Amino acid sequence: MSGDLRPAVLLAGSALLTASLALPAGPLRTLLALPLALLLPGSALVLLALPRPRIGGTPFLAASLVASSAFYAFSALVLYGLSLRLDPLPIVVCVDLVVLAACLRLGLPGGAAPRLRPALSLALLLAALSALAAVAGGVAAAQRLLAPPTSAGFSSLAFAGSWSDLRAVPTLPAAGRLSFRVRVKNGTPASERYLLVAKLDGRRFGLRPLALAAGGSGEAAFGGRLPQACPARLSVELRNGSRPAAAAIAKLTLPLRCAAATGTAG
Amino acid sequence: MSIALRGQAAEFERSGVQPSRRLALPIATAAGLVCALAIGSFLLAYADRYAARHADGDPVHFGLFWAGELVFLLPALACLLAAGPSRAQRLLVVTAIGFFDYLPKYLRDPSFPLFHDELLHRRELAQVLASGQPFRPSPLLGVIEYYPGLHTATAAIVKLSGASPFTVVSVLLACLHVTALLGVFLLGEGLAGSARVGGLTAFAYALNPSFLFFDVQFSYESLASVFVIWVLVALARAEVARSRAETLGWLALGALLGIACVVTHHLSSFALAAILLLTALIAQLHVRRRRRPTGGAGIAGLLALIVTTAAVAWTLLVAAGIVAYISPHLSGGLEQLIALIGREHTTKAHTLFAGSVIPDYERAAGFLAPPLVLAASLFSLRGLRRYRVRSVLVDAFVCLAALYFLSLPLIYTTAGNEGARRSWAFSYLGIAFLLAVAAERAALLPGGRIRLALLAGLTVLVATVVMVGNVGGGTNPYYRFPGPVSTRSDIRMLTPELRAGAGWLKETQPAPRLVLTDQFSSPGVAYYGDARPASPSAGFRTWQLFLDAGLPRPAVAAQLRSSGFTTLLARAPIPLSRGFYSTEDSVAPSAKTTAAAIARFDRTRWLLKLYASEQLAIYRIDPAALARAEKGMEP
Repeated sequence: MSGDLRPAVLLAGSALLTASLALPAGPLRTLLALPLALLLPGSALVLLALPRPRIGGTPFLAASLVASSAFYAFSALVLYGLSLRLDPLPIVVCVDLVVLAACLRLGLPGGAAPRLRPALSLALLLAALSALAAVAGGVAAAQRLLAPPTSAGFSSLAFAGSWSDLRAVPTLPAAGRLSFRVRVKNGTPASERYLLVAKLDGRRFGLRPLALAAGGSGEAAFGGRLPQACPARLSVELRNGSRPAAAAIAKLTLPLRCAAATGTAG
Repeated sequence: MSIALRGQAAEFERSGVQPSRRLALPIATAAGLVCALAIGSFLLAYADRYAARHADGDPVHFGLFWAGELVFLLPALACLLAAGPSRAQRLLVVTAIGFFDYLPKYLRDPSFPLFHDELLHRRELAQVLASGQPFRPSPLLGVIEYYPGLHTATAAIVKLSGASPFTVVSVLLACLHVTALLGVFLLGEGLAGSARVGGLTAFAYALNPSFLFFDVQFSYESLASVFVIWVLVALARAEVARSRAETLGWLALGALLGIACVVTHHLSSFALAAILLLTALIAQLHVRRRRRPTGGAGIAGLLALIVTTAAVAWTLLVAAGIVAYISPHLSGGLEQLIALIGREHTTKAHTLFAGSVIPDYERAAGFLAPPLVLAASLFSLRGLRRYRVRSVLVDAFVCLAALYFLSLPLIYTTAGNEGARRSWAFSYLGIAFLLAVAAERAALLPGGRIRLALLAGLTVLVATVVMVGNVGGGTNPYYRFPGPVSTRSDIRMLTPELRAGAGWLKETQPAPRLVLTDQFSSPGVAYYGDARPASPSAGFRTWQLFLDAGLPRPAVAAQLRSSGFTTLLARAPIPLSRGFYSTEDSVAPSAKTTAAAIARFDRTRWLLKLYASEQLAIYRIDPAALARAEKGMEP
């Protein structure tokens, strides 16, 4: 084979990386752009410094990866110095510039002939792929053989809506209405039936059942006229729907204040 | 023909094997290694799953882990010890070792970050990605923001590839792990002029205590240590360059990587500057004694000058706070060491394997590894003579190896323990080269087949003991294996429940989400909640809030009002001990847990409990209600 193909390969890689930015983020773009992003600027830098590195193919790839990391670290500082954000376009322009510089250093296509050994490269590629397949196969087999531990998981309860970011003790209107929402998450590996019990100063204010699939979440709303003139504390208990008499799984508690005027809180 | 090809041809000539068998042997070896790789991966994954279902002290998962490691690594070592394999085959084996050694850490947290430092660096990466700017403040480790190399490099790759940060981090770390070993291969090969020594050096470096877990986490050292290795590769290659242009090329590459190291990690850049200065000094001594031409000294001197200037300039101009960050570890470690030597009573002594659940054989290997490494290093010294004329780095590597042995006493101190372990990523470069030379020297000793087989067996045995001892002594079992929730380690407290609670914070509370919590939960809250946990100090005694029975003390209450820390996250199993709520080194045991504090919090009128799960509660502090309570107007 005559002619140095490296500038052409670098330019093609650079064009591909630049064009890939037009693709939406997804597996295709990742497969196309990730290897190029990892290796291209570093390869250009190494070839810029050493047109004939004399270290072999695999170490050249390794040197390219290290040089790419250094290149991005410097590019980010340069962009920061220029008050530019670390966005795809400025980064790819930096990559294109270093590739262009490397191509100029290597000379236009038609220079010295590179030593390409397709048979050896293919053998190494096959060996590498076999190794990767072996690792993936081994891990997958072990994970199929032994299922992950079924942890007990957790269930959580939180105020929802405007009360999720409550910053002060809520003030209740005297003899008014109270309404609020709570959110429950089932973090256990199985479906669960819950029972939500709201209390004002220990006296029941409302009861809501809730069924949630594994990993699911849902909301329940409470509302009604205040049963007593000025309750001092609201609590919401999350109970197991199958065993409501058992201790609460989780409990929210909120001090309350009363105002003189009538109205609605929540 | 390149040096590599000439080397392969010469090795084939020496081997005297017929061409047809030359092809058949590597295929059989490669097939065997691929099988070993598959079995090893299977056992490692099985050990992980087994550990998740059993008690920490169960010896079975340790046994499965070592069976998995050794089933591949020992044949790989045998392959690297043999004279037959070509340079390309050795490189392939080293690459496979790099990927294989990435597996234990990958299996430990294949879907989310878990290790303490990793959470802080992943948060920094998220900040850089969101803002498009480096130098984002970090809530728990302030120095991170001044060393943005890893975060910006990863962010740039994420932006270019469109892949998720998790994918990019996983691929990048796996590739860097392999790249580190390939760099060590080139170093060993460059110093000894032999691909066999190169391969053995890479293998021995993979035995270093931090290689399997610590160096694979997403942390600035993981990239910076690779830069260090490749700067030394550039130096070694520049020394044996065939032309002035090639020398300058390697020098330029070395300088670029050296400066990249400076903007990536403090300790690594200081270590690199020190290694280069040491190398330049040794080279100068060689020149004075007329042992070598001035070339090597000049290259080492120039690289040392560039990296040292860059490190000093970066420290003075950008990261001035780093001295205050590092110096307590250095001075504290030395003071405690002197106290230990003087047999003074000190509470700062660190007892190896104290309370550890690792099996006895790992414990024994942990104590045996350093003397074995010392013996092998001493055995290698006579074999080094012929390499000294090749590179100025050989003597520098002997000094690095000596540094490893000098650092060993520091692991008996609490302040110096961590620093000593972190230095091994660099000092083990010297150890790795000496071990490789020792292994090669043993293989070249005259004798019959039986004696050679015995020596090879001895090499494999030493490697096994060093590997088991270094991993057992270097990484605590909670980091190595999954297992039940335990307050003995922060990593075991990073539960799905904490992640969900932190996620709720991120979803419902506006930035900057200033949170008061315990030390075990802080990194997880910072990353998963994109929050800023408080850093307790003598000036901000946040632990009093959890530990005191009554109202917050006036100073703490005033600070809460002025600082804006109004969210409190409490976890029931955390012991109510100051060590868990402050940055003290020692953790005093406590019979009481935070469940008692949660019961107390639930009764106050200045805390609003907005989120609750079985073991976790999130409160909002109402400053006005707290003020009323302080005045006695409310309970």
